[in-house]
Amino acid sequence: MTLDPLWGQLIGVVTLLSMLAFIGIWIWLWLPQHKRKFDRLSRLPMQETTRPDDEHEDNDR
Amino acid sequence: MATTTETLNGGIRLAASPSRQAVLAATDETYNDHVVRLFLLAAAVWGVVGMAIGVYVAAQLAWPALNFDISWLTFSRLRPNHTFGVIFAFGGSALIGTCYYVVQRSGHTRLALPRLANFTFWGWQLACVLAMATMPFGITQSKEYAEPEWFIDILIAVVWVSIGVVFFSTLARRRIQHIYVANWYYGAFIIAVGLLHIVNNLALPVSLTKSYPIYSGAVDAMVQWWYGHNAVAFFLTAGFLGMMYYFVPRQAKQPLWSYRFSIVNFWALISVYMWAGSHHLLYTALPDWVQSVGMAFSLVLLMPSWGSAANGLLTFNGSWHRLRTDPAAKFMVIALVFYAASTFEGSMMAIKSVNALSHYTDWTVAHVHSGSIGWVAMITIGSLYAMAPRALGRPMHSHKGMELHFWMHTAGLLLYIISMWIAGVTEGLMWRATNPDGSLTYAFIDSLIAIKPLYFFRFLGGLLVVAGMGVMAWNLWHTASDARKHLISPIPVPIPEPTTHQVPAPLPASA
Repeated sequence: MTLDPLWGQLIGVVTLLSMLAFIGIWIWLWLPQHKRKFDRLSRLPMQETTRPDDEHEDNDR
Repeated sequence: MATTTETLNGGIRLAASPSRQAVLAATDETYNDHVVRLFLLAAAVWGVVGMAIGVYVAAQLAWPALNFDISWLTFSRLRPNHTFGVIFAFGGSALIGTCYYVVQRSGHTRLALPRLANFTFWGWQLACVLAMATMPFGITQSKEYAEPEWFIDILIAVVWVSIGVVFFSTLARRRIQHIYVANWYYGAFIIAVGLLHIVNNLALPVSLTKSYPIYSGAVDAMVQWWYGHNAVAFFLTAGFLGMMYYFVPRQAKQPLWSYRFSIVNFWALISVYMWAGSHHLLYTALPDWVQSVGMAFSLVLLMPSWGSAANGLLTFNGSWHRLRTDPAAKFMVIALVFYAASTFEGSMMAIKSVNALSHYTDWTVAHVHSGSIGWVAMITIGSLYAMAPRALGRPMHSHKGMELHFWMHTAGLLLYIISMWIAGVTEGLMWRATNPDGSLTYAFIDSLIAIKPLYFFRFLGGLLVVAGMGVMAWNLWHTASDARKHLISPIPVPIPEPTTHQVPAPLPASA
């Protein structure tokens, strides 16, 4: 059984589209207007609200 | 002390330093930590149970008489109980619990649908108990990591869809516009595992305890390992990366090293992992090109895997000193190192010529346990130690207990994987050795005798790990004493002032 050459073309197109999507994600993420938002989000886990006496709750000794 | 809020691009607002008074003045909405505590308890119990079964079957490999000639105590019958117990009962409970915790905190909202959330807890526990009570008696589909029979599979599917409904309904009512990256990983984990579970378990029941899969032959094998490998991908990787992306910055007290890089890695990971499953079937009846596709995708996978590991480790830059004092941070760092190590090892083992040596040997067992005891268990334990003081309303009962657990776990892990690496390579080399006339140099029993001492060291390593889990369970039990006596008060949700055109629309404060 041989593979229909059409499949080869389709695989090529899908590969190309995947590459474009991947490069597109990088470009979108490094757009300057997103910088401030992403910087804020990278700090989100540090801003968890806890109780006032929470200073001792970080397993530090 | 005033609450300051900062407006962000895209209408995101975060409470910068909320004080309790200001928050309480703003709302009476609190986080639902009740269901989180239930999952935390379940994870601690299943961790001990699942790993104890593992140690028992490991002991049988060193001392075969330990099965006492009782069918349901044999290695073959109990091994699925170990894998199901640690992956789905322990890992699953920890994942769902932390998922419910993180989605509330990272969206500044209370968990949606509390009754359904409670159902997911009891439903999941029932599914785990049913699975582990039936498999030792031969009621099994004989599909690795998908052993439970059809009626349990249906229960799992119902519970899983309910988890998805709770999670996505909570996301829908979040008060922060952007969905934090941990939730992307948790979301992929929930969607993909639901898909995998349902497709792989399609079967025709012939009685309550017996069903036949709708697939046959090589197709059945491929579907099974598409499932099996993606269970590793989306259960043991994507889910635990969700944990990592929230609790590592939390515990390092540092912002995530690169938020943008975490998104690149997310899309790369979920799009590449799906196609790597055929590397479990190298040199089988599977078409050769399918095997090659699996190998190629496995090699590409190294990049998003190391991307997330690097992102987590670099987040600790500037707070390495915390490793001296914080056992939770120690667990997380070693977990990330083992995530990087075991994904590198996995990509290498997917290369056909390496696989020719490693497959069917204990090297595979070493690889799986460097991933599960090293990466999965350690990121879980680190996250549970980070989450428990908040969910249980007081610091961990014993700091020394956490330190002891860390060293027991690390020593047990190293003992386990080093002995199994040596055993695996020994087996691989002995099995392929031939005499000049082409006959095999060694009989199978020769390789078994050669590695027998290593089975003892593996047992010893496992014993240390499960004893450490016992220490954690004891520590958590005492930490939970206030919670058991209902002495702790729920934590209020900090609600930022709504911005114009906020999407989704802000909820009323007392919703």
